[in-house]
Amino acid sequence: MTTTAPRPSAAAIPAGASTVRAGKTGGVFLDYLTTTNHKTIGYMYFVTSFVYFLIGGVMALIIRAQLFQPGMDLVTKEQYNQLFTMHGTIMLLMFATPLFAAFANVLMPLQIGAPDVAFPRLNALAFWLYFFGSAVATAGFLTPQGAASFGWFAYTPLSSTTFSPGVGSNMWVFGLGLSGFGTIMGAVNFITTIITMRAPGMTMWRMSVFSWNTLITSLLVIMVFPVFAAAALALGSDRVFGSHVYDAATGGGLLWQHLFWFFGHPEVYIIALPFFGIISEIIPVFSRKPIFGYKTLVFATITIAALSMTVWAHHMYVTGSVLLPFFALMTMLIAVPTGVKIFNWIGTMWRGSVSFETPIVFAIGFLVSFVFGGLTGVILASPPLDFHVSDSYFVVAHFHYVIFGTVVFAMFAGFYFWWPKMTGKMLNEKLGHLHFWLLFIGFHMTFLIQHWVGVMGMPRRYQTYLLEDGFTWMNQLSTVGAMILAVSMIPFLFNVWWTHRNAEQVTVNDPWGYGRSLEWATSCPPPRHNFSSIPRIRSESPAFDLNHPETAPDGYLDK
Amino acid sequence: MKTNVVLYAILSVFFFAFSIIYPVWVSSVQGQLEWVGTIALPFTLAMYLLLGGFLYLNLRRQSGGVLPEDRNDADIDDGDSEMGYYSPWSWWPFFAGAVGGVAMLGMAVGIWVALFGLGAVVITFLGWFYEPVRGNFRR
Amino acid sequence: MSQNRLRWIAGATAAVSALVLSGCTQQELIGWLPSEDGITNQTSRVIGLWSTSWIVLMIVGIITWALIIWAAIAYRRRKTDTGIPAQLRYNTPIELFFTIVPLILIIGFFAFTARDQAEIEAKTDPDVTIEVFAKRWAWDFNYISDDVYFSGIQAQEDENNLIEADSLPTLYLPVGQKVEIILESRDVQHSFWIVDFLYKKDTIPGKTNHWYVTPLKEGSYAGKCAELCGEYHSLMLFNVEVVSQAEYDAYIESLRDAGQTGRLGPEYNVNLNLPGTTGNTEEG
Repeated sequence: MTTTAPRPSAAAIPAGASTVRAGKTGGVFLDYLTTTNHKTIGYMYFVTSFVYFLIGGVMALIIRAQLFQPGMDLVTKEQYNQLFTMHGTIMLLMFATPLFAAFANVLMPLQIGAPDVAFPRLNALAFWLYFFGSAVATAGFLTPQGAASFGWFAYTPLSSTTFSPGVGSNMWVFGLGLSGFGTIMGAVNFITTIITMRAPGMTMWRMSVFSWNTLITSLLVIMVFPVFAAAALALGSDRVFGSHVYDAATGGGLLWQHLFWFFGHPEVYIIALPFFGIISEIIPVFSRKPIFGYKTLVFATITIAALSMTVWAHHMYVTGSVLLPFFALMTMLIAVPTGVKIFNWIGTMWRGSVSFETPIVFAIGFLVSFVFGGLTGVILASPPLDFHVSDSYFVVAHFHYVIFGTVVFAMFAGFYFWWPKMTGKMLNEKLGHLHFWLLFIGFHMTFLIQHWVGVMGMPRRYQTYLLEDGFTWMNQLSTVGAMILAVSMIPFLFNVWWTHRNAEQVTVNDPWGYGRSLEWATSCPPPRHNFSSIPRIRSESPAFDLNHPETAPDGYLDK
Repeated sequence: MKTNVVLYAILSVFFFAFSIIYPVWVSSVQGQLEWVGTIALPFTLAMYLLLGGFLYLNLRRQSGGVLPEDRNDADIDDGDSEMGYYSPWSWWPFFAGAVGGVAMLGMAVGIWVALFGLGAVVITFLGWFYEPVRGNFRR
Repeated sequence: MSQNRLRWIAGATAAVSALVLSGCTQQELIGWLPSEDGITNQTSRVIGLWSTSWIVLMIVGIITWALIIWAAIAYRRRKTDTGIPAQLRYNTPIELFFTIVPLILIIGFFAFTARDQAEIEAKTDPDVTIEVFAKRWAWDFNYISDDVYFSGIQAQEDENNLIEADSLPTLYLPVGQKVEIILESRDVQHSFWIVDFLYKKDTIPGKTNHWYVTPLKEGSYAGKCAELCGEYHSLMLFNVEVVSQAEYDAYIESLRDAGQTGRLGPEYNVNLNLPGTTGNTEEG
């Protein structure tokens, strides 16, 4: 018996060729509109979500400029409210969540040895629903009364027509409802693909950690996005049809909060888990060792996902209406599996042979930043401590540390790592290191000081503050940091452009040399249906086993 | 397959436990139920029972045989050589997404726009589902 | 690790911590909280929990960061290295260790948290009852026990757009008395935060919240709204004056003399779609 077998459907198609054009007119643009190729759809998700990242980032810069000193008056108070509302909405729902779909689309089928996802047209639909839904929500800025200005969590009654009458708010509600449907369809697709389309020998316990995290994240999505869609559409019904779902007199304020946070808390794990998966792919490759504690890592991820469904009201401690001990205990418990993951990553580097290419430098930057975010999370889990710091800049600092620290650092780590696989070219290392250090310094300068300014009494979502409060120097430090953070994007964008124009084509399957998972056993970029041949799968590192059979499990080379 | 069944069984047990613990604890301390958690947690349980139950029935129907992707000693050519039919490209997802956007925009700005969108949604749905039967991709 | 080495490390750590902590300012020792022991009956408890939690968390954090940096330095690939390190995939004792130890720390933290939150939220028999109505974008204070009220307006900005600190409404509290603050909202969700008291509670329309506190130290304290409530959320500030009983009585008298007797009750609330009213949009 041979160790590999050719896959009949893809054998004749050269690497990187576009789809078969049977009787089809139109050029590259129409190819993108009609594609059902999971890799192409993934690239479209990447571009769209990165554009939203930059848009949301510009909003953040305006916010930070406004807070440079009291009475800055760069934007009016109403404009400021629109800015932070859309900044939060864009970053969480139009950047981070679709970015999960981007990475999962491009990588997961490759990593499990599938030729595409289970439902390719549904995959494309998920992207277009995201595209158009997000466009509708963001287009609120083009309306006379501007975009939604009630905060990304849209607490009722502030988000009712009584207090937020503009059509931009309607567009926010319905645009996000549509985009949420797209996310749900994407998740259904990923779950089905993982359950049904793994290559022979690719048992669940040999899947890459990223694919496991994709599965668990997708389960979270189908648990909670329907709740959000229902809550949002009910709000839309209140706004447009005059229904009374969220009337204050009948408990509407708390009803919305419970519904929203039942979605909202698992949402942040939906955002975090795929990026934990990316880190779990990168650290083993550059430590030249398999991931440490694979099984406990997977169990920890499942535990985090399950527990995250039971903690939502820790966002509501100060409402005086929630069962404090239950939510405090469950929230604190999530710290345990998260700690297990961090120690597993450290254990992967331990007694390894770590080189410092750009991807792993970003991964270490993630580790350092995320640890601190996790610690402040434990503080926030405790109601007596949360009573003081809730809705202050301490919370803003915490979530930027965990979300930015996870999503942005792991995103760039993933970009530098998988750029050759996706495009056939390697991004420049020197520019990558420059990018990292500017980002790291800018990020910490912006957000570390915000812990102090929050504890000292600066609430969040304030357009201005008292001169007498003494917050001015801290805000100025934070604003300068934000500008450095913005500047850090320039080396990256230049790197992308320069690489596209001038870099050499990669000719090998695995340019990094120590790739472990299955995507490194096919060409850079892969052919239309991913593999012309798949190596034998006997561990969680099939490409590594192929290239280093001396480390493969016993029996790998047997006939 | 078995790993998936076990995973969803464990999650079902977890959500079953919390579907009981949460409402009981809340109502005993606060005197009334907190309706969102009390309903959402059992619904999550139902979802895992559905998913896990379906996969379990499939597992049982395998009557002891193991799919190639679940066998530790499978080789690549143990799998089916044909995975199924993939549409190489399709116009319908783009149009379905676009008209969904129009329908939602209409809900936001004016119902008359949504009505156009609704009509277009029906057309795109029909086009999508009949795609393998008509025209270019007739099988 | 040998016994000697362990002892050396423990001794060095103790010495360094003593040195570092002795150099800490008062502010640092309470973790930069804008408060002190004894401002209210609750602040000591919160400060104690906060500083102890931070010390434990920073120890965990420093160990973790040290491990990360150590791994990156000690196990880096030297230029002369070839080959692959041992492909270790798991080590059950260590994995159990770093699961169980955090679990124990968490359970301890939860025990202290549960005790403190029960104490802070406990109902008491109040000496003074004050009802606070939050509205867009200021505060109404109804001194229920004395049947007078004060109606605030939002903070005013001067010609340079700076907030005038003396334009803020002021809440007076008598020192040493058990105060019950009843929290209501006239329109949307707001949050009543007295920064130096290390406590806030939301005001939710359609719901009544309560805060039981005993202010113990006379002084001026800042208050802010801490839940987004619309355009002038940043101007919904107030002052708290904790004063002696005599001053408090004098203040109440001044309100009475100004004719502000009675209570500005829920009749002034914005239409919250109470049962029996029509919808707020005529176009439907």
